[in-house]
Amino acid sequence: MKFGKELNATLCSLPSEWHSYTIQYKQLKKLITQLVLEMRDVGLSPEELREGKISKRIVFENQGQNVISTVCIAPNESEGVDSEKLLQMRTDSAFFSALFDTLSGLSNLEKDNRKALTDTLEVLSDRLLKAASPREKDMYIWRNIFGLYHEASVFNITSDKNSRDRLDWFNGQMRERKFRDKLHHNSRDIFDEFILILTQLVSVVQFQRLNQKAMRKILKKHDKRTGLGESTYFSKFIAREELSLSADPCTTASQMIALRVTRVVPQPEDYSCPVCMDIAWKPIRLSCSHLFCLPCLIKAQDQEKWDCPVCRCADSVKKANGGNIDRGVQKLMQLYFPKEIQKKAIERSKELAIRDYEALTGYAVSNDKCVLM
Amino acid sequence: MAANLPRRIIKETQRLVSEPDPGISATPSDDNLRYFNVMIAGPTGSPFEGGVFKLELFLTEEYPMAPPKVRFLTRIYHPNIDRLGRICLDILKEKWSPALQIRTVLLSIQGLLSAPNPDDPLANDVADHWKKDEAGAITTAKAWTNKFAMV
Repeated sequence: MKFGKELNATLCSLPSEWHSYTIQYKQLKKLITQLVLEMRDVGLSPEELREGKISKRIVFENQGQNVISTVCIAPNESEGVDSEKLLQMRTDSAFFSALFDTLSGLSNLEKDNRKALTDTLEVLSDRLLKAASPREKDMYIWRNIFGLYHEASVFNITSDKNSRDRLDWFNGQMRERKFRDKLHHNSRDIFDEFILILTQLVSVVQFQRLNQKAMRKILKKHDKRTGLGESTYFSKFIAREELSLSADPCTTASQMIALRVTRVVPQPEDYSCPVCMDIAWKPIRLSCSHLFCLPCLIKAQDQEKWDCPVCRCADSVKKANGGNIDRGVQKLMQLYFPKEIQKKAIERSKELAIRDYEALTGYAVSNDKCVLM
Repeated sequence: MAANLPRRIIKETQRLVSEPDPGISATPSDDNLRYFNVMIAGPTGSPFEGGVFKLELFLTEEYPMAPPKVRFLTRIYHPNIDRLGRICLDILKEKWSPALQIRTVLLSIQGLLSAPNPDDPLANDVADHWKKDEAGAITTAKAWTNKFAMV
């Protein structure tokens, strides 16, 4: 599909109030065609430029409403020209003025959208803090919801999956597991709002990426047809103009959600021991700041593995003792992961019982069922 | 007899299957969940490109306190891998850390195929060949890839 058509097709699925902000791809394409004619009029040959026979640089200036582009042709000593030749083409300035105007509009739209979303998220965050607090029964359900949100990786775009598909998958999971029904009345409103915000963010990201792509495409076309190579100069120019356009819409979106929503509910994965990959209970903080569980640390010390398993910091394990229990994290874990901790404690006592049994009897414990002889 | 399979091994196995790395596959054997059948595709741009190399990987009772045992089953002409398929790689020996995983080990082996290290050899004759006549060694490695590692 030609990009112009793809652009229009994608726009149809996005809010209509955004349409006028979009990069005017068709119009810009026409300006490129006109520009090539104007270049011929002033004696600039795209072919020679493309072949690199003429050395030049481009200057962009922002004059209020307009962007003026100036092509500065380097002196050509063999022809006896000793100073730069300056050229300004009406259609070239028109092209970059139009593009810059759109980008400024997009930048304002993005700023407004972000502000509105941030405000909504702040409110949501406060409500969630109460609804998903360890004192409420909903905490474990919320954790499952956000666990699946992470698994969906909505804002992790790869070639074969886009945000909308991933969000559909997430919504499907929610329906299938009936998470909304399991939540208390209070939490349900928050859940609906969370889904609404995600849907909006997915649109925002899609719109931003669409415009980024349109800009890339149109500048590439400009470079290719005129041979002027203005795109790199223009990119530097916009960087100087300090527009608030996100360079990476996906990361921006996922950070917004992580910061104000999902982080409210701690996940056990964030407190897992890198050795047993289970919850790090009890949490030991080594001098190099890495977190492990006490049983793994004891095993490492028993085997005289003295360095930190993660960063190899020398003697980090050797130096650790009871004082290395991270009380703050321990408290937080008791509050947020009571079930996980209990499970781990049971497993640990089983492990110790087996070890003691084997040490005492000299027999290995087997899982085989007892057999009557 | 082995007690329950530690949770870490179960988790690692699940992730290896659900999020495989490009060019690497590892599947546990049906009768022993500590024994993995591994396949590594020869990295692009290396003399092993186009080949698929079989390896075996075994997690001992001490794992993850002790490294997994890994060996090439497919013959390969490489200065750090000997006739028996044994691999000279620091993280499989003294540089092992229990925070490393099956995944990281296999990625390192894949890296070793991209960057043979003749200064730390296991197969001395191959390493000598590599140091004295790199182009010739690469030709041999390619020939071996064609002969032994084509599926």
